[in-house]
Amino acid sequence: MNAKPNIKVFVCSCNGIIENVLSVQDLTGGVQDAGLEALSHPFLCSQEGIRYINENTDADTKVLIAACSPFHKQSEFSNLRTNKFLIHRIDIRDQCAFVHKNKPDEAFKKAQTLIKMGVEKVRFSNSIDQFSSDITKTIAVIGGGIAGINTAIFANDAGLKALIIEKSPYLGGKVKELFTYFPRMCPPACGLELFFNRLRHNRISALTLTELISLEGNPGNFELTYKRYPRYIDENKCTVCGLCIQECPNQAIYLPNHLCYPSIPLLDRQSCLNECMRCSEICPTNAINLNENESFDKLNAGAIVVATGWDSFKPDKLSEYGYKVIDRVFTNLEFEKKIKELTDKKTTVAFIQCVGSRDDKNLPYCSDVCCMVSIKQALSLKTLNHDNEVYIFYNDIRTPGEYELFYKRARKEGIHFIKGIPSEVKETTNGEINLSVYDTVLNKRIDIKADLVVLATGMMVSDGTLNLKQVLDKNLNFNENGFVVSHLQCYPQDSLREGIYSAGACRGPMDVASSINSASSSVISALSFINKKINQYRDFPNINKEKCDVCKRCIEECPHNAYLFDTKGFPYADENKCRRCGICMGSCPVGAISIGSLNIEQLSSMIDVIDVGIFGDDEPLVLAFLCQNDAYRAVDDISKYGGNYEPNILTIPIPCAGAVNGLIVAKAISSGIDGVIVGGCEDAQCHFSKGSSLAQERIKSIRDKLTEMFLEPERVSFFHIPRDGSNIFLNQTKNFLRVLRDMGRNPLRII
Amino acid sequence: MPPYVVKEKCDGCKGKEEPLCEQICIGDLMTLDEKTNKAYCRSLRDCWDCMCCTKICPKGAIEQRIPYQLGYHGARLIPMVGPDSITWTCIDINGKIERFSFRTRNKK
Ligand SMILES: Cc1cc2nc3c(=O)[nH]c(=O)nc-3n(C[C@H](O)[C@H](O)[C@H](O)COP(=O)(O)OP(=O)(O)OC[C@H]3O[C@@H](n4cnc5c(N)ncnc54)[C@H](O)[C@@H]3O)c2cc1C
Ligand code: SF4
Ligand code: SF4
Repeated sequence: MNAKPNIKVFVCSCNGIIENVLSVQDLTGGVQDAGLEALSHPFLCSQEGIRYINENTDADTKVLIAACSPFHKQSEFSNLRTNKFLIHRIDIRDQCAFVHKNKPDEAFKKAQTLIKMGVEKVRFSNSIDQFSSDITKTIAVIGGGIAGINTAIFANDAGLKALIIEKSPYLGGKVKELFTYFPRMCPPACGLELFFNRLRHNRISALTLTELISLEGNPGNFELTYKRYPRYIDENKCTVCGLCIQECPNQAIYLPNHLCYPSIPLLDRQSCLNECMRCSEICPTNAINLNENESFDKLNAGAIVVATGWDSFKPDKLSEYGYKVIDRVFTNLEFEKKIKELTDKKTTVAFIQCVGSRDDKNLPYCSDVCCMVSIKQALSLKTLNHDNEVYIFYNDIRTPGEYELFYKRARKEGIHFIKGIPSEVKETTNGEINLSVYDTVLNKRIDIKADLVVLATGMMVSDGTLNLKQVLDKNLNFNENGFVVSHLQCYPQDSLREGIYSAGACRGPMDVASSINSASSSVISALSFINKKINQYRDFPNINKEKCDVCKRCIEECPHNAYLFDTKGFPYADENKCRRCGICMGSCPVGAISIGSLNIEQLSSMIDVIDVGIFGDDEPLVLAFLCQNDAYRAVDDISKYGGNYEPNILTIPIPCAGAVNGLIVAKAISSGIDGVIVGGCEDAQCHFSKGSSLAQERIKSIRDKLTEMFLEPERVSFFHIPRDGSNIFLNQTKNFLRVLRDMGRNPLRII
Repeated sequence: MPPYVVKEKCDGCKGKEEPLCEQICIGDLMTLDEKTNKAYCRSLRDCWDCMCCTKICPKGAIEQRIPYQLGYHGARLIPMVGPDSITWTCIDINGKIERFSFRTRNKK
């Protein structure tokens, strides 16, 4: 019987750099003394180094690599033959030999301890295999505006099946109401026609007059139930001959504009007064059924893209602008239509910027496009008749990037820009509109007369998005302004749930170019999600049913709503919803949960092997659990800037601060460790949304317990350490160690 | 002496039905107040002072006074539980503190 565990430790001397501070031979010697196999190499991440590891291991060997930070050279070390869940790396370079080079003895002791802990980590690791699952290779796009249309086209081009669900009768969204597009001043119809053709040629289905009413199933295999409102005209039968349009005595059948997709007339049932049935009788293809009812159906999709767009801010409340009082005051969106009716008769038009936007009582944000829109409309007025007088009243003109040239052009064309927002818009007795404004450049009050006034109203969350909120509920994250965003900078296209993405102006105000860009980013994410799902690792949480008491805390605390109940009433995490954050592992009061990359057994044994007195009976020893996305990386960086800190701190990377279980912290304190740090992101920046705040909640409970026990609560602390927080770590830990030294050693330490 | 639930700390195990103390209590004495969503002991005199509930509560919300046969009024016994360890802090009526750490038979 071979009792020796199949564990191999490889220690790298990093071309002598580590060797300069630490004796690699003594490190391997220490491991061998403990009865394990340890090998050293001068350059483990080189091709020879990787070959060396592979020659000395098989697929089941548990491998500990003591070298540089686990976040360096990841691609090199991905070429090992061992199952990746059996490989563990610890850092004896960046966080040891480098930062403690002035204290080589301590650095050695720290390295030795890290190796001992690493051995425990690999000892209790389990190999995890991949499995393939059936994934529906369809993307359902909700909303058929410019963003949704492009999402469907990109998805189709990427080899997926795409399908659009649009609640209105036609595709195109707000863009089909526009007169021209900035900055090229071309008609939107031209672009739209091109996109519609691509939908047609690729047979991308678009369900119009359709709304999602429920979502079931899981990422990869969603089941969407939708409602179709009656259209009365069968899309497949109608040939757009136009006979019904001519026949209807009430003008209840019409084509709203020449750019209709699907290109069939609209039958307005409300205007159909006498049910004369003349339309259905005249239709040569029998396409009309006035008795059609709403219907329900289901469809399956692997991923969903929400592209429910925006609505125009309604300025009714802002009475000072005379909207709905004076009939020649329009919103910018209304003016897109109005401008088509204008002749070359000389007209004076005044634009008022920021109506509703940048206003804490209404839309607190900048609506992004309104400056460009007003300039566009102003230039169009100049094209109509160069003698037209155009005033733009503004606070700041925002035309970023090359859009600045557009603004310059407007100045050259003689458009008057007046810095100041009119306090009053009134109709004079002779029917003119008077705008009274304090010009902050001239420093005086002026009055301007205009024939038409345009209010540059902002873009706000659409009613359609709010309706969808009720259906998709916890799957979407809405910011304080109602836009669909989860992590704005890094994952602007993501939602709270895997497999659901967003595109276009439902994410926030944006122009057409950005909407199309956002469409492609959502498709890339959806595509990589689908590909990843087809072959995924079984590394989602595992629940030890012998331990689980079914308290359901894991279900409540999982930020991704991944938990369900199995037939016996135990919780289990749905692999398709789980994002492997480990927050459930941190939540379980009985320590029943482990995730693929980390389990409680590992952490507990790592604590067991720590000799708390390595730096001396009165020297504090600290365990720091650091979020591997940010805090741990910030500590990694310290050596790059030539910084240093005391070796008394042993760091352990964890998937999220929320993965640290209170039991582990309790064990560390019980074992005589003097202080425990949990380092995570700012609450709002947590990659897994709730992890950081949950970690603090748990730390608070432990601190309360310590206080009750007459131990100093300060021994357990949570630090906010962002990705660039190297200095924060240095300052906080310096302070922390000072406090610990003042307190004296943990009374639970056994000497 | 029966358990006392610190209302500010108890979060009803977030899970709505049957909190951990209710699951663990051998006498089935702990339960959740439906209105406040906080745990309480429904029959104080039946408590055996086994302290299971105190040990398992993840919020440290359950306090237990030592039965007077063991330590007079004011004496306290506080457990801190790890995956395979427990540390007891005993505070006697004179405020003297003693601590004991043990390995438990729980698997890690
Ligand atoms: C006055 C004005 C002029 C503009 N001019 C320009 C310009 O010249 N150039 C430029 O680049 N940008 C311009 N913009 C910006 C441009 O309009 C937007 O970038 C663009 O409309 C965003 O497209 P979208 O698809 O995200 O949203 P939308 O156009 O709003 O489309 C959303 C679609 O989703 C549908 N929908 C909503 N909810 C649901 C639901 N629950 N279920 C099913 N379907 C749903 C809607 O019916 C709609 O068809 C202008 C904006 C304004 C205010
Ligand atoms: S690992 Fe994170 S996402 Fe997965 S089940 Fe646990 S808490 Fe939920
Ligand atoms: S938190 Fe732990 S004990 Fe509670 S239900 Fe989840 S796995 Fe079971």
